[in-house]
Amino acid sequence: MSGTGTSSRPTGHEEVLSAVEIQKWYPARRQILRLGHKDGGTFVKAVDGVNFSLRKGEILGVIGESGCGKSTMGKLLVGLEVPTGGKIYFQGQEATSLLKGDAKAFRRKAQIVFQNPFDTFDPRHNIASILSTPLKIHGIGSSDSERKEICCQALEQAGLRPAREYLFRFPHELSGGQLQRVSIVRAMLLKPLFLVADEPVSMLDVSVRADILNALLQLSEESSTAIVFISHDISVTRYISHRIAVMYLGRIVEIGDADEIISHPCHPYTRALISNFPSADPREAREGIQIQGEPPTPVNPGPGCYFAPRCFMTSEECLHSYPEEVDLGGGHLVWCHMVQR
Amino acid sequence: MVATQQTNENNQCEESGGRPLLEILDLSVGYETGSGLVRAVDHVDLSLYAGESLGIVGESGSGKSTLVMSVLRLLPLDKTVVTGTVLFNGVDILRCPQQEMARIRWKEISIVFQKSMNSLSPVHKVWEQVEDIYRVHAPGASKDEIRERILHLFNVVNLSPRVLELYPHELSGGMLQRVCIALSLVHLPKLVIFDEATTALDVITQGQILDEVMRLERELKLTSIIVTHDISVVAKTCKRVAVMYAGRLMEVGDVGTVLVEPLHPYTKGLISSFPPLTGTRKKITGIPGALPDLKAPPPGCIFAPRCPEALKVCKEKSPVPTVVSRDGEEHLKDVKFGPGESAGLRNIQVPPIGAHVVACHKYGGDDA
Amino acid sequence: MDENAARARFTRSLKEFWMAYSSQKQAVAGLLILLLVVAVAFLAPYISPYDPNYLGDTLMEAPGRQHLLGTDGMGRDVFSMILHGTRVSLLVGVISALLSGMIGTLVGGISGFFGGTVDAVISEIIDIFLMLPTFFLILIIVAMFGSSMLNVMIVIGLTSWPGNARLMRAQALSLRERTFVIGAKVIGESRGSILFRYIIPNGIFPVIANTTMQVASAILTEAGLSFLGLGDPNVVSWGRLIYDGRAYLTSAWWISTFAGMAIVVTVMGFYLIGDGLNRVLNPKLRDERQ
Repeated sequence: MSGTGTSSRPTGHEEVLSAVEIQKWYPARRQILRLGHKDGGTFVKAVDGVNFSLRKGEILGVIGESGCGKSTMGKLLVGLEVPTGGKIYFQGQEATSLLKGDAKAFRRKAQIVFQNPFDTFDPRHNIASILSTPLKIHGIGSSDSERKEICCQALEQAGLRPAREYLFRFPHELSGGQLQRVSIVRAMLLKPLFLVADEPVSMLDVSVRADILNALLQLSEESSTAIVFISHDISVTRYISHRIAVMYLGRIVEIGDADEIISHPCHPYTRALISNFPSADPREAREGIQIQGEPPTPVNPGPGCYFAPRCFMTSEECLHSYPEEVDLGGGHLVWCHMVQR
Repeated sequence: MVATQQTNENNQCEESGGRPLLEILDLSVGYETGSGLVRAVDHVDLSLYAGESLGIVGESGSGKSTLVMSVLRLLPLDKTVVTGTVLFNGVDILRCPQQEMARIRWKEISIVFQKSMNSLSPVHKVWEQVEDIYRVHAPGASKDEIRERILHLFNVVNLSPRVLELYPHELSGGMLQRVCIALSLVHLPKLVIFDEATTALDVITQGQILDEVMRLERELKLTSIIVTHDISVVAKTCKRVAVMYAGRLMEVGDVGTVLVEPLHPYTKGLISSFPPLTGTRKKITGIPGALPDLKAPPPGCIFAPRCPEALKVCKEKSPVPTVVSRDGEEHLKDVKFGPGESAGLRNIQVPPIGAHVVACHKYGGDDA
Repeated sequence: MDENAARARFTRSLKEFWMAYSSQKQAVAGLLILLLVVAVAFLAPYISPYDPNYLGDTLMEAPGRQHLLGTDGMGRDVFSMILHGTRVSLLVGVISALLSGMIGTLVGGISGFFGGTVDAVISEIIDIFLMLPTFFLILIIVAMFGSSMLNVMIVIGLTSWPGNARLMRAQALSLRERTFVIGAKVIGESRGSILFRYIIPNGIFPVIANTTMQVASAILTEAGLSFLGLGDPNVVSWGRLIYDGRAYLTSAWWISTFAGMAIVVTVMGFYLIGDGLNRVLNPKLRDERQ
């Protein structure tokens, strides 16, 4: 298994999730002009060979621009999309066959918190019904009143106090921050192995973001649930993550300890990304590294490094072969021809 | 300390050097709804001198967009109640005739929205649309003249001339936003407003566009207002910042002062909600509570219900915006400003360039 | 206390619905017509002056004091027959529209939510049904299986569902992309339960509005069948009255005319209600209103 980085900050020893060469290719729409491609069809390679593993209680941040495949990867991990190649293992168990064989067991292991809290819940159901539904489906709690009790406890734990006040409210009566808390509570009720958080704070106001991030951190610590935190906001990702993976056109280009990635980015793309990210402190003025163009759609990229057409430090080699993994030590891996071992 | 320019001439006088380019005086905007008037902007005083770059920061519902929309008189007349005065270069924006306003828009004040790119027609090439837009304010312009001007501006915003011959759907979001910025500059306006202009863009594109905006400000001596929810955009781009909350101004001052050593508890809370990108990881804290109901705002300071430092007086009386000095020692007693009761518009005191204004009882906002 | 709060909330949303509905004059008029028609259907035996099947002595008497709307060729009182005919028309209209609404919702919901091959096949079937000349299909079936009232209702219901199915399919197609539906999948809801708990309840409103209008068209279809002599011969219906009066159109115009007016008024009532409901319930029109 290439590319399974080891966290320099192990929070547990048990590996709960590992992705091996997972791929999601969508057949591209038929084009009137078939440019450049002879046969074999064109594919949009949303996720194109991603490897990583997660330990118990570990938080992995995934950053990248829109269209880099980070959201699709999140969907693959929770079974909302089926990979077209590669394997995902939950504690050694192959995920796709688990989903086919025992869907409920799969759902208990993998949960997700969505970006848009205002659309996460059926507007016609109240919070009590929203929270007790997953318990009912998975046979947790023996009676309605017991399930209600479990929901109350979970709400209180997530800072929605007094819980009874919230139980009979409807989604449109709660604020975005409160809804996102409920969303986290619902996902955690099933005590999943890991949680995918897909841009969970990007639609929230700045002043409530902090609370949601802290709630995620607290829940992850208490129940040692691993989290895949997908975001385009680098400072938020660094705040919450142990490790960070940077994705570009469906592949991880750099992965490693969060602080290490932020302070010593090696891949030119990571460097461009971080240098262009504005800081809230005006004293920390950075000059953004200029790179050309914007991420193209991942239609049959390659054969060279996918980033080469926009890169500011290409060599001949970059245009011909996709770079091999370079291990910089301490779990810091980078895929770039220009980085010295 | 206070550079009061008391020019007692009447309204039509020439622009005097000491007065700001844009003066917003006691501006309030209310939205009429079925169940009451929503006070989206509430007694805001703000001034902007030529050559300044001002960032207006606020969360959703802070009224920051409403504020700039009312400066351009773009709010629906039948559903809004606007009171107060907006002086742009000596012209009373809210009361000048419609034709005058049509001339000022785009020619003197232009705006770039978050979704500006959606306003381009999908079935016409960029060039055709650019030509049409140019001719609105310069009907007699020749094709060559327009092309020369546009190509110059495309060069300024880092777009290749090739873009003119493409359709909008062939361009990426960042390129479209650049087209819109170029369009906003065609008549060399005195003031350009960017209303969340880079919010929907990716990090790298946003970074590049912000760099270009900063360069434009230097090279074309633009005066600009950047409206955003993202403090870091302001920190990177602007010289001054105005922090808004629930329709009121909380704190105005130099970016280096307000964002580094904020005085107002709301600004403090906002800044401590942002995790730093580098350095040690410290626990970030949000601001508890939620925006008050703007149909029935609480008495006293609008932020008091969520304020960790609220005093008794905060819940009873609205604080008056107060200029505080920069040395930090004596920022308590200073000069109040605002529209004088019987004074003509020209006699209003405005805070001088670089003044740090705070609306909080802790900093002398209590005596009205 | 919690239960009370929930009930209060329900009352409030009902009140909101009524406010939106009652602000439309035509919709209120439609509702009044419907109330009148339903009252007539219930009270027919008590308010009609004669037994509709009683053969009186005076044939083809013009409307007057004795017989409010005159008598037909066999001496029966037209007014009493129209009052009794209300029951048949209403019953046929409501039952067949309900049948059509249920089939349409189910088929459209499955098609739109499941997608893929299922959707492709069902969409084809819907298109085929929409292309069929429905009235002739009904004629053939009634001719083959007899024209009892039950048959007529079932046949109308079975041929008019594709419109509802298309509405429901469109709703399901957009609902299945909504986060809360995807979320339901992630917490382990089965596909069937997502369909019935999330897709149908959230997408049914346009179908409800359309079904109300279909009551009107079902009444018309039944009248048409009766007019062609294919209605249930054992019951008095408006269509049958028109059919019977056709022979006397030149000498006793009142037989067909008043029955025809009853149909027009009732159908209009249902259309007005349907249109009013559509304006309140259909998400697209609702946005335009605001």
